[in-house]
Parts: sequence; structure tokens; C-alpha cells
Amino acid sequence: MPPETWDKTFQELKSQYLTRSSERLDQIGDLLTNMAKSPGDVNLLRDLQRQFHWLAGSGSIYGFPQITKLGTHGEEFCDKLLRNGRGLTRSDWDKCKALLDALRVTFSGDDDPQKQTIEKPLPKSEHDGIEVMFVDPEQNHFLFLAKLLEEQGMVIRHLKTAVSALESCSQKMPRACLISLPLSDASGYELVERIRILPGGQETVIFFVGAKSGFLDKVQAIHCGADGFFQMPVDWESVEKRLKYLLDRGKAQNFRVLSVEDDPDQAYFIRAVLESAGYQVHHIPDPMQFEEALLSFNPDLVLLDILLPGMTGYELARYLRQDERWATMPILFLTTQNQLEAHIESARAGADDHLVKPIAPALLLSAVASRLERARFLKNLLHRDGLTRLLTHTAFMEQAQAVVAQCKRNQNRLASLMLIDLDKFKQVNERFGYAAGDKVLISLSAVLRQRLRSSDVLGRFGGEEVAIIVEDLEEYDAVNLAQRLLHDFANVEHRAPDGTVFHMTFSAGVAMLDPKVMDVERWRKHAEQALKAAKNNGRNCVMKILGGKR
Amino acid sequence: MKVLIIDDEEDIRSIASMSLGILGGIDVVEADGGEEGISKAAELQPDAILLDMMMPVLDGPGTLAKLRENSATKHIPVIFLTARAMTSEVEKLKQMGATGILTKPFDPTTLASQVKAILGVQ
Repeated sequence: MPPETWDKTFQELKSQYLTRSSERLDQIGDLLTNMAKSPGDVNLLRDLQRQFHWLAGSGSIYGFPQITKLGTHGEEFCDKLLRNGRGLTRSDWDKCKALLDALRVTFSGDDDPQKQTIEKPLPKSEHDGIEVMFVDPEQNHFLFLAKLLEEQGMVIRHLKTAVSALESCSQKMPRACLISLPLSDASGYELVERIRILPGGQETVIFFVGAKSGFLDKVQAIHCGADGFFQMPVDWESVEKRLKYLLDRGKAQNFRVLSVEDDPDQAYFIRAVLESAGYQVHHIPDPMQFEEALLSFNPDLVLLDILLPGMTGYELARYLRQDERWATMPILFLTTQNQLEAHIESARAGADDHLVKPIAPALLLSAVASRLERARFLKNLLHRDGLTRLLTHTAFMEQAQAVVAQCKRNQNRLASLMLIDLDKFKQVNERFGYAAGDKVLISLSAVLRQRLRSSDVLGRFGGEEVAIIVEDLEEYDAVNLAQRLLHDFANVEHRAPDGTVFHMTFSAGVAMLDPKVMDVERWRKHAEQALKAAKNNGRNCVMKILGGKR
Repeated sequence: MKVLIIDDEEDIRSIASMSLGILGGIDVVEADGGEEGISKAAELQPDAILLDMMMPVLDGPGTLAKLRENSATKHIPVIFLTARAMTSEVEKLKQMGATGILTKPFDPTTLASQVKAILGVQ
């Protein structure tokens, strides 16, 4: 391929295109003038639609995606007008005029395709801008990790000595510190202790990386206040995973606590303490409302009194434990009962803790926080695929169900389902072995995670199929996003164990949810059809299906 | 390999033909409408036809129907170029005998490889 010839030719064609485009815009202007005079003339409207159609079909090819977008709007708008056949109203005309103005601005504003494509910035990674400090006398231990973190927008500070690290921390505390042992000017443990007493030092995540790692080293590391100890040679991806997990820990999580308490004063106390720490609290005085509250409030933790009207807290706990839906739900008792028997009975009923009233607010908070933390960790393990860390099929479908329910309540919300299937994946497994195939899946999940918002739902449908739910995007943008994901993924270099470098692509089907007529199964079927169409269309492409809502 | 592009828009024709020619090493013939396309197809016997969906006078599906009726052209693979790749539409075009569908706007740097992928050639 002679790229220079191509570039030159492309630039020539582009300048011709720009000339013709400005003539086209003038023609649109003339059409609009005529349409203002005879608003019922269908032929004028057809001509206008053709002009928009042409812009829609050509803009992106020449590096003007915004033109394609505006043209598509115009074309669809004309289509609507032609179909309802009532002629052009003043506001219709204004809208066409506004589109023309926007087209003019877009063409005249900048003809640099690079800039044109930044119409909508890619969603930022949720860890964008987070500062991480590396303390490493050799300055070379963390190179790979630095690359992994920088890819996600994190900012790295490299320091050589404990003294400079402390200095840097006291000016601005990073969100995480990774310390390579041994240091030249102090013991790493001492450094951690010093960091912890600086302002903000309690919250920062601290890891050690070093050669020594007997059990006692790990204990000493934890004793001095570090969050983890990794032994050389390190699996950097697991360090990254653990780091991100701990960074997210401190985020204001909107955990929901359901409190069952018949004493209004106690209920008030519990609510005040937990809400002050940022939890959402729902309180019911009557255990008969328990099931309904579980379903509607969907709590992350329940706090039960033992003596309740008509029922005991033990029975509620047993009720929860016999249902696998609530398997990971932490149950805490908060009661005046302090006999040994009551503690034993609580444990038997499956409770996680038995707290005795009156209770200090700090104790209540720490009990709640630690149980929630543990539950989140377990849920993560249970609901996520072991290889890609994406949601399992069941967990994904549960989330999909929840999205459908939300959209049925609020029909202004938009949701699209993307099904992604790797092209010719079996050949990778056959040629390079399953380990290489697994790596491809991991890098697909990494690309998706980096490019999507944390609110987007990602799941693995077994094999090489991945599903994504993206909310609040119009169909056009959802398809566009899928195309960008494909583009990014296709650029990733994969390396087989024998050193061969190869590239992979995927096919994707996108379906918008129309909550009026669709349930989750129907939605999925639509996306599957679109995916099938993409496969039939030669793979390596994105296809959509008309979901009704446009 | 020879490909015939039938599209009434000069801008689309020229960039598609440059892209297929320069980046894909394909010989390209152009036609600016359905009727001209059909006669060029019969005469030049291209290996494939890239056909625009929306054209005045004779549109894409109309052109395809005529290509399929004509014994001189009915064996030539036809790939549609369309801005609306709805699944229902794709199925319909396939039933009519289309070999593949490419969406507009296309990426000029990968058009040739997409065409080749649909035709199953290297």
C-alpha cells in the first residue's frame, strides 16, 4: 500500500469536496427560501431531504463526522415531514434553518479532521487524574505498572528516597503510594508510619513491593499500616486490580441500610448516625413489611432488633438466609439482649454480628462499614466472571432486568444493548492455544472498561460473547460508540506464546430498548439479530436494529 | 480484480474508487446511475458491483432486480452501500440476492479490505 499517494489523493478529493459542499449549502439556502414561499410543496421537501442525505453519507468519509450527524438529523426530519404530509410549519422551517446554520459553522469552523472528530469526548476512566506515588531507589521496578495506570489517566509521581517521598506527601497527599523495598535512606515501615500521621495519610492506599516476604514480613507490613505486600516477581495486573479495588473503597458509596426497629427513639438514633455517614436508611417498625421493603428498597445490609411485634429478629434473619437471593446480605442485630444465650441464638440464625444497646455511634458505624466492605468483596467474586471480571450471565441479566424496569417507569430514559462477539476466535485457540485466547478476552474486557463509564453494565455471555448496556445515548451515538470500541480493540496488538503478533476484531449488534413493547428477552433477541446481521455482513462491523424509539 | 461502482454522487464515487484503487489495488469502473451501471456491468463483466441504495430514476433495489434478471449480469456479486443498515432491510436485500451490505459513511482507509472480506478474497 503506498500511503503517501493515498494521503495526497485524499487531500485533493477533500478540497474538492469542501468546494462542492459550500455550493450544496447555498442550494439548501435557496431551497429554504422557496419553501418559505410555498410551504406545501412536497418536491422542495424531497430535494431538501436529498441534500441532507448526501451530507449524511459523505461527511464522515471526508473526516467530518459532525456533518454526517447533522445531515442524518436533517434527513430523518424531512422523512418525518414527508410522512405526516401536513406541509411545513414555521417551526419546522426554523429547525431546517438551524440545521443549515450548524452545517455552515461546522464547515467553516475548522477543516482539520482531527479536531472534527472530537465532537463528543470519550467517556473518561473513573480513575482519571488520580495521583499515585512510586517510591523506588532503582527507578525501574514500576515501569510496567506505571504504564497500566497511566493508560487509565492516573498521574504518577516518581521518587527515589524516603525523605523526598515524605516531602512530596506533605505538600500533597497522593491517593496511593507504592514502595519498593529496601529503600536507601530509611526502612519502608518507618516511611509508612510517617505517611500515616500526615494530613490525609490515613486514607491513602499503601503497598510494599519487595523480595522478602515471609509471613512475618507481611504481618509487619500490615502492622505498620500498609495495605498490602507483594513479592517480587510481581504479577502487576493483580497489583493494579487490588489497587483499584482499594481506591474505590473510599468512594462515597450509596449503601442502603434497612433497619427494623419498633422503638421510634432507637429508630431515630440509628437513622441519624448512619445518614451522617452517608448511608441511605429505610426504616420499618413492623416486621410484616419486611419482605416488601427488601424488594422495593433492595438494601445492602439489614439491621434488626430482636424483640419485635408478633415476630423475632431471629425469624427475619432465618427468612433471609433460606433465600439464595440474599446470600451475601450482612445481618446485624442491635438489641438490649445481652445474655450469652441471645448471642448464641444470633449466631445460629445466621447473623454477622450481635451489637448491644446502648451503642456508641462510632462502634455502630465501624460494624456496619466492615460488613458492607466484606459483602461487596464477596458479591464481586460471586457475580463476576473469573477471567474477565465482567458480570456473569445471570448477574448481567438481573441488571438488564433492572434497566428495563427503570425505563418502563421513566420513558424518557434511553438504553441500548450491545452484543459483541469476537471474530474467528476459535482460530486463535486452535492456533495459539487457550492461554492466548484467554489473553484476548482479557484485553477486550480491558478496552471496554477503559472506554466505558462505570455506570455502564458489562457482562460476559460465556465463550467469546460480551454484552454491554449503555444508558442515555441516542441510537446514533450508541452505534458510534460501538464503532469506536471496535476501532480501539482492532488496534490492540496481541502476542501469541510463540511470539507471533496478531490483531483481532469483533462484530457487534446494537438494539435500543423500547420499553413500551419490549421485555428483557425481546430486547436481547433484537440485539442478537443485529449481531447476526453483522456476522453475515462479513464481520468486523457494527449493525443496529430499529428498536422503535428514535 | 475489477469492481464497478454505481452511485449518483460524484464525491462518493471518487473517494470509493480512489480508496479501492490505491489502497486495495482494485481496478475500478464508475457509473453514475442504475441504467448506465447495468450496461457497463454486462459489457465489462466486473468481479463485483458496489451499488448505492438511494439514487434518482432507478434506485439500488431496482437496479439489483434488473441485474438479476439479465443473464449477462445475474452472477455478479452485488454489495450495497447504504446509510440505513437496519436488520430488516439487510434481510430483504439479501433475499433479493445482495452479497453484502456496507454502511455509509464508510471509512475510506478500510473500504477495500471490507469489500474483499465480503467477497471472501485475500
